[in-house]
Amino acid sequence: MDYHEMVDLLKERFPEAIQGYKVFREELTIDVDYKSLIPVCTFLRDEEPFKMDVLTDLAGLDFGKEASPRFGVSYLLTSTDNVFRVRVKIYFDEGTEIESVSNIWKSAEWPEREAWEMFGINFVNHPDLRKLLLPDEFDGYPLRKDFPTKGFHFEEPFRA
Amino acid sequence: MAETRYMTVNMGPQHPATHGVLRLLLELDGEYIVKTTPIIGHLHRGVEKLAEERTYHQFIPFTDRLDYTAGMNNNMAYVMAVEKLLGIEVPKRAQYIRVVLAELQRIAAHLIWLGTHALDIGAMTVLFYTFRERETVINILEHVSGARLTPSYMRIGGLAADVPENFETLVMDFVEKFPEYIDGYETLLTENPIWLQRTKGVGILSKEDALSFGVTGPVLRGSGVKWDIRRKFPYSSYEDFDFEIPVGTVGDVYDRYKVRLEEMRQSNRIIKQAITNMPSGDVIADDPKISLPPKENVYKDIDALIRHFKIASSGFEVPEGEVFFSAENPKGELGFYVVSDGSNMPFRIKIRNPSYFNLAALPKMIEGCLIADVVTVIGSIDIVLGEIDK
Repeated sequence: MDYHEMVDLLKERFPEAIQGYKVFREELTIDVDYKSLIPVCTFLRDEEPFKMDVLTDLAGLDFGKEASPRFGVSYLLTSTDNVFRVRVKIYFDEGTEIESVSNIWKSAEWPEREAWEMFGINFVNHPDLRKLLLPDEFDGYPLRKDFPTKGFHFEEPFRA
Repeated sequence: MAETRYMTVNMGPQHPATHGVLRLLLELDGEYIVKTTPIIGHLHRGVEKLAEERTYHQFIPFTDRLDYTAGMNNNMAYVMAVEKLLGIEVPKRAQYIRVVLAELQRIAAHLIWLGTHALDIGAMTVLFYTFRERETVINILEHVSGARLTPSYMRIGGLAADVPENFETLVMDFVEKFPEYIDGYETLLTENPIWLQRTKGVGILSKEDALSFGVTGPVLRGSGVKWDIRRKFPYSSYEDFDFEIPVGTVGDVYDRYKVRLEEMRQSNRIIKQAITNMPSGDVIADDPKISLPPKENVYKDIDALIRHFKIASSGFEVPEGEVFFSAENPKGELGFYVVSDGSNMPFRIKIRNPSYFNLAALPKMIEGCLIADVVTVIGSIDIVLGEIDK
């Protein structure tokens, strides 16, 4: 089954949720409505021809202050039975509550904590949302595009 | 009935057996572990943020410093991610040399692991033998790249330079002798009753948990999943080589030990095949927009000088898009998720660091174990905090 047929299958099952897809360098990226993240992910994990049993990586994205929607999360899924990968991406604005996928794949727990502390992405139903790499008293979201790494005002505390 | 009270014990971040600045909060019921909370980030340097204001080439030295026991492998995973984004083909000779160096580095990394893991459990002798062989490997890598731990030898499109003339003989000398040395380590440990008692049935991770926690590398294979990126998503000509993927059955510390020992033998086989069938030719893709010109031309030829200046100062532009590339590192699957907006610097780089995901499964592995087993299990997942903390 090729990528286009897979997307058609998903579109049939979730007509509202699938917002588009792209194949670049033989990698499939599916844009999903963030409200339907949990049903789509559960379907991808459990059903053929997907069986994405491993969440390989989870990355937060910030497209800059002017962009709308500003944030994104990219979930990279791997199927060990069918040996292929699918990337699921969601887009949303600041303050949106995103359902945690750590109940579907336990490996999401730490990367979600990281995306939360680095970007300020608000995950809900996460078992233990605490700072992971940064100190507890750290103020600001360092991986956001407007967080400075050098310059005149670097010493001043950053406010999101 | 008396009330159950748990004692909380802090372990690290300054502890010789945590292999770096790892801190664990252990909740104990007597000597048994009820709950573990790993606390990481003491070595956080913000590499992903730093990548966003550097050109693609300037990020290569940062990758050496992730898992500092496997610099070559880190270089390789990163440059191949950018090559995938660019869509360029690397010359066959460069691919083969990359494989030889990556496998030598894997052997060196596994030798550190074996020595320190045995030392953690109390077998000191092994360390001296493994570090002796590691020195040979590191000397070869130094001879090639000029650095022992942080080679930065790979370039986008190929290698910084061809290998020195006597490289093949040096490697072959090592490869011929090495299997005997592995047998030597095995005589010290594999059937040693103390070793068996300390490692068998300790730190078990089931197949289902291993997949759900996203662990990779020898930890995943120790749990009985035959998953190796070199076989499943072949890169850099790994499909040309004949090698086995060792797997464990139970998923305990002993299985991971057996898997890594066998991996060293297989790496040895791959190196032998790659050296025997080494193709000749260029070691870097001939793409004037991406690769630096040969150094001798820079001094003689004005075009080459301009090309060198352009690439060294402002880098090159890459197509807009996003790719994920991962390689099988000694610790597991090291991946780079590179998002490009079409400029000369990455828009976002996310590192999929294997030790990080493997460590996340540690609380599950040591649940119900004795406190003395904590160092055993940490040793068996082979973590490097430079990589976990990024």
